Amino acid sequence: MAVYERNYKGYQGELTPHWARFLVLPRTTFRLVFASKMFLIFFIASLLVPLVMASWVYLSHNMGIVEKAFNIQLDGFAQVNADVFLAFMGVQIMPMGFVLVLIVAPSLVSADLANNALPLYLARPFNRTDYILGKMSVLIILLSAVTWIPHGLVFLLQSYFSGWQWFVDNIRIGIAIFIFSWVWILTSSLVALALSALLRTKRVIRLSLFAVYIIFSGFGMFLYGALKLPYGLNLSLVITQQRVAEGLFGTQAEIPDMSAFSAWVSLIVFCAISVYILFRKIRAYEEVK
Amino acid sequence: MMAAPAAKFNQIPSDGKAMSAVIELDKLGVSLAGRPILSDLSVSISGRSIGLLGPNGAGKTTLLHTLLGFHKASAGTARVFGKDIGTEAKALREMTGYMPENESFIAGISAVKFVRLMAELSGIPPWGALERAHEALYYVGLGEARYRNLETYSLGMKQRVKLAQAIVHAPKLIILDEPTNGLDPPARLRMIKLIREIRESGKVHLILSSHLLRDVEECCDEVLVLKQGRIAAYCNLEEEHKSNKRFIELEAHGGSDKMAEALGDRGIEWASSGKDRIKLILPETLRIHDLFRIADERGIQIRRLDHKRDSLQDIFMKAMEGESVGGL
Repeated sequence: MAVYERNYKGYQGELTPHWARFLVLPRTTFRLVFASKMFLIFFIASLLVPLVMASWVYLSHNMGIVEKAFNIQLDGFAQVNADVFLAFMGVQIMPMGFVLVLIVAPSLVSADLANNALPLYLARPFNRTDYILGKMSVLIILLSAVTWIPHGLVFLLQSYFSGWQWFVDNIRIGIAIFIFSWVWILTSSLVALALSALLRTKRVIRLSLFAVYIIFSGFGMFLYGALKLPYGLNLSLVITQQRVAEGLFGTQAEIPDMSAFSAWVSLIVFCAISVYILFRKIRAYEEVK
Repeated sequence: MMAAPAAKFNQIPSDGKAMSAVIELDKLGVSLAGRPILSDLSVSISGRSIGLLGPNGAGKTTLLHTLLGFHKASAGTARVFGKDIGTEAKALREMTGYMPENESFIAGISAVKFVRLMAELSGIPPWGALERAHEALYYVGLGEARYRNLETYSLGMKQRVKLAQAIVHAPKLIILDEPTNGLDPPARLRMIKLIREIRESGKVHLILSSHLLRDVEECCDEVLVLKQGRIAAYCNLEEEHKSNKRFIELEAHGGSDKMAEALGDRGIEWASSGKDRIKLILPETLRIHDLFRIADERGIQIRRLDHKRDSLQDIFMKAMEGESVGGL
């Protein structure tokens, strides 16, 4: 029907599969997110880290260029190993990835709650799980674009320069990049979405995210350092994520008192609490007690 | 008159799964935060447009939310188009459009993007969704404003964009919760006209919840009146109007008591409706001419005579005055 006919008409066309409908949400959200100049600047800036890492890899295999250019000897200076990958991943995640979460996540759920939009979503063949998946996939896609995808490419670049044997010997690094990125993306996304569902204003949500990441870590360090409570560290999302990364990359633990196992448990607890909050708050209508 | 006899709506027919039934409630009860909001609702409705009436707090919105699967039934069952709201909620929502009572929108996007998003969530592919979003917005009269952000819309425009998102995926059933809420008279008339047009298209069933009797009277064929979470009355407005054809109100000058007595002597049901005014049901055996003859015999003047239809207001007021009917 053309618009000029202006009458009510039915729809007999094909329908999209149920499982794919949650992907409608990230597509719509990206249009809004990329309209923000601040986001765009940080997004491009966060891609600089893997670019620097790629340059590092390139130079480490082409030392002659630097030595010739600057007339210096750099034997063994730019080795590429698990420590280097972990260091670059660390910078990529904190602060770059964290800033992206701070910019994008606060309005993802809170705006819908503030504008009473949930009944519109949930009155359709679209349930709470679809909604949460849709909102999470906004963060998953964005953060994947700045974590495991570029760092995975850098890993492949390094393998290309060092040969097949290096790839086989260091496959653990590649796996660690992939798994740790997903662990970080999932925990960060869930915590951020839970805060977005729990609180209403962007500023408060950003402060709360900051508190969960930074102040909790400080408090955890205080419990660990001053009161000698080793489990205090488990309150810190940053430290537990770091410990999980060290376990996956097989590098030396900076805080030996925390086992990788207890770090995994802490992250699971953080995720479980976030999922619980999300399912409590994501409802078409809130029951007034 | 609606009369609301229990047998008329308190039982689902033995072939309870009759395909024609739009809504079937069987002893439906809903409790929120431990408080019973709806109790023991049983009715089978098959009209094209169903009005849901009741004072504030009667449970209208809770019933709609339950039909949409937002609230779980604490007792009994409910079916829409034969589909159980508990076990087939997703399939049910596929064929339902919902216009919520409160202001609801998605921030930061234009009306056309909003309606397109809603169409896509209902399963229409992106290219079709965009086309239908344009059509739906033109249909509700927002064609010229469709690229404006929703935050800039007036209340009347927001109501219409809510209607557009409810019809964009061509549902079989449209649930409208207080669609004229907060609208000025011209905007209200526009909304009522749209709802009537949708009804008259014959392609869709409507449930319209309102506390405004006029809205329901103008848009609905059947009315379900709720009171304190129970069914207080159920009526088919068209049948009510037909049955009230011989309902007469007259004003008798010079002895309304004598006139009433004379009517009673002839077995006519009557009731006083104010000073010198009598309401009566004219039996099949009598004509209006006979009323003038009776008055003339008693030396009474009939100064005014109306065919009085039992208005929805009468039906509603009687339902509100009476107890819930039939052990509902």
